[in-house]
Amino acid sequence: MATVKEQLIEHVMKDEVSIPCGKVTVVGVGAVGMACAISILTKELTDELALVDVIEDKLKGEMMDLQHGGLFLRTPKIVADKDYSCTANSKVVVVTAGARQQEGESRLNLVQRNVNIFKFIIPNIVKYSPNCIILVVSNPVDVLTYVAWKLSGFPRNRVIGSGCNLDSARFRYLMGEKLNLHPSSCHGWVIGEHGDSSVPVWSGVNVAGVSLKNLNPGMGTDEDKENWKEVHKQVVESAYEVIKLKGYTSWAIGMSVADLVESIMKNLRKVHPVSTMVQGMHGVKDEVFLSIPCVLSSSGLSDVVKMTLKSDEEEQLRKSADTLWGIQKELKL
Amino acid sequence: MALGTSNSYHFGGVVYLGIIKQPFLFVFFFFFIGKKTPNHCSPISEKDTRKQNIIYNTMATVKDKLIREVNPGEPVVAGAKVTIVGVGQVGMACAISILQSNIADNVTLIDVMEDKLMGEVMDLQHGSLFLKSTITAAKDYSETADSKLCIITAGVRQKEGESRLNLVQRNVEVFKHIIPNLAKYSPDAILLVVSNPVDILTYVSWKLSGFPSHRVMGSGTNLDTARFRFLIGEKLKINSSSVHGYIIGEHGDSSVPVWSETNVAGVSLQSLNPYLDTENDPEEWKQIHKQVVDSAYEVIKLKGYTSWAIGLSVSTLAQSILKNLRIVHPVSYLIKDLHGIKEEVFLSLPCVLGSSGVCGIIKQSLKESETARLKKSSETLWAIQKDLKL
Repeated sequence: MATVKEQLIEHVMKDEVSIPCGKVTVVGVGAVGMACAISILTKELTDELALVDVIEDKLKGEMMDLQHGGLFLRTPKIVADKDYSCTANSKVVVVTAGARQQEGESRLNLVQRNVNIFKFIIPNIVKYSPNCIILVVSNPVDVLTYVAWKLSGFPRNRVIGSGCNLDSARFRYLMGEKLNLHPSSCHGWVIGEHGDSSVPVWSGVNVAGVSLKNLNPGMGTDEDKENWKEVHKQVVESAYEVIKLKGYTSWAIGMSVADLVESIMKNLRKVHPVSTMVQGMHGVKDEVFLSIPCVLSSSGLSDVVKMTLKSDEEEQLRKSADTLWGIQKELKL
Repeated sequence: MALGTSNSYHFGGVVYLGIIKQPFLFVFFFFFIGKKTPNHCSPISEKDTRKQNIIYNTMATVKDKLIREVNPGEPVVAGAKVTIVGVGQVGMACAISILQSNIADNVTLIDVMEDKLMGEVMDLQHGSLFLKSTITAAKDYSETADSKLCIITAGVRQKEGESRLNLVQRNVEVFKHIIPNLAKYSPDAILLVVSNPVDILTYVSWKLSGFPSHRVMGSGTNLDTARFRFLIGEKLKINSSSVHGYIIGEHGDSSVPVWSETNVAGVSLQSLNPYLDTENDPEEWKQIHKQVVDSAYEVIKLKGYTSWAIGLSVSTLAQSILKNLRIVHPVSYLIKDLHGIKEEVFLSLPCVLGSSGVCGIIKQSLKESETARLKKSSETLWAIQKDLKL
């Protein structure tokens, strides 16, 4: 007897192998990975989402939970497997896997634990998606983006760290609170290391092109009566504070990653502060990754913006670079 | 004639100029500068402006210098506000889905666990650049005032293997604190109950709030139906949105799949396979309903809880309500006097949702076996409800 499907539907074409055109893989289904996933899904950035992790039950449960929401989404294929073959032909691979910061722990402490995890992940990604763009989120992101770059053998335009995209978003949010404006109208760039020594570029902070530093020359210094320096301090402490209150951070990083994925998938050529190889810029001599404003397109990171920095800002970048290189040269890759 | 840069901070330039000339009143003057008053744009001379600016520029904030306020102090017209009670996995999944769908002007979250609440709200606020809604952490229920929609996810969650009905009395106690508070501060709101057992807790919310029944509904079988349509879609290799079918009745083990009206493009599946809802079906379509019932238990067993699907499903209900879309969704509603039900119970039926809540109910032609199952569910629910201490 013919099945319901056969009675209902007539197939009228010769089957071809369909290759996904905008597939996104998220490696790691912890809180950050799943927040990236739900943001990417609700922003309808892809036609296929793949999830990978080593914990099989959790992985399957998360996949099912997302699939059950299929009626409300426009991403028809959601797959998950411990085996990387399910990630084949991805356009963008978001890596969130790895150990997370404990309360009070700095990002740099996580390094060696996460390098070992990457030694398994990165070659697998490359094997199944040799042309993809790798977006590293795991911390310490600048070091791990370097690690991913080395382990993948990819050109530097296809290995990007989420870097200070989130720090800048937090900065703009706090700036918006201070000025009672929406963050999208508050412009400010936090660059350098994603972490304790990020650099707020006060000279560039503006609303509608009006430089705030011109209105308040003391901005960013200890003499500033309005204490704008506190805004950057809060950005640095944000993660620690949220971790202390709810145990981890997820939503903000998820949304900021989706923002980056959007620029890549839609070839927007938007400028984002993300972690890239900065050797030769701002006096940095070593092969380190730090966040500077970069143009993101379907080829990945195609261009970088050459900021005019003050000498003390460049000094801070070089100091970060030295710290990171000090860690990187000890790594066993 | 130029106006001083900080006009909003004082009554009239001319009055204060006299005080400026006397240094010993300097401190007193600055006391006043911080006080916001309605913006009297009284015209002052160029010379006065320069004198003012010497003083004001050293004290005026960046904000003052950057922005000339227009109509400060004018009350902000309340937009579409949604309150979510409970910042557990379900509450937060509802929050992120609603925020990313841009349907609410403000999302207010409230929970008894203060640190967790602050942390979750901070985490969302840090993503404000990517959103078009404001997010508030309510320290007490007064901050939930004037909500258009209140979503209740609070309560204890099902343990592995625990049936929904077992959760009842634990959650009734929690609701006795929540519902009267919500009703007090948002007397015109619509209540959407998600906590399980949802049908009973929707009844409880209706009783505790004193709201008319059309403003109290439960997420009910909205999610069961979504899972049902997803699974059928997988079997037919068609997108779930093109599969039409409803699961009604109790959200849980005894939900009722209305096979007779399940169709694709109007073609009833049962007309193609009359054994569809029986044990004799070689294609085992009945398994699909069983999978729907087992879904929640399975996801809980694998990842510890369910969140994403329920969050997305609640967001679509919120959208229909806030935007008065009049879309039909299966939600838990007071079913008394329909399909032969006599008791005051809430069960899911396809309802038209709009800004006043449940605007209408679709009158399905149910088979006797289907109506019988609804009656049995309502008897089971009533047996529990009548013993509740409300």
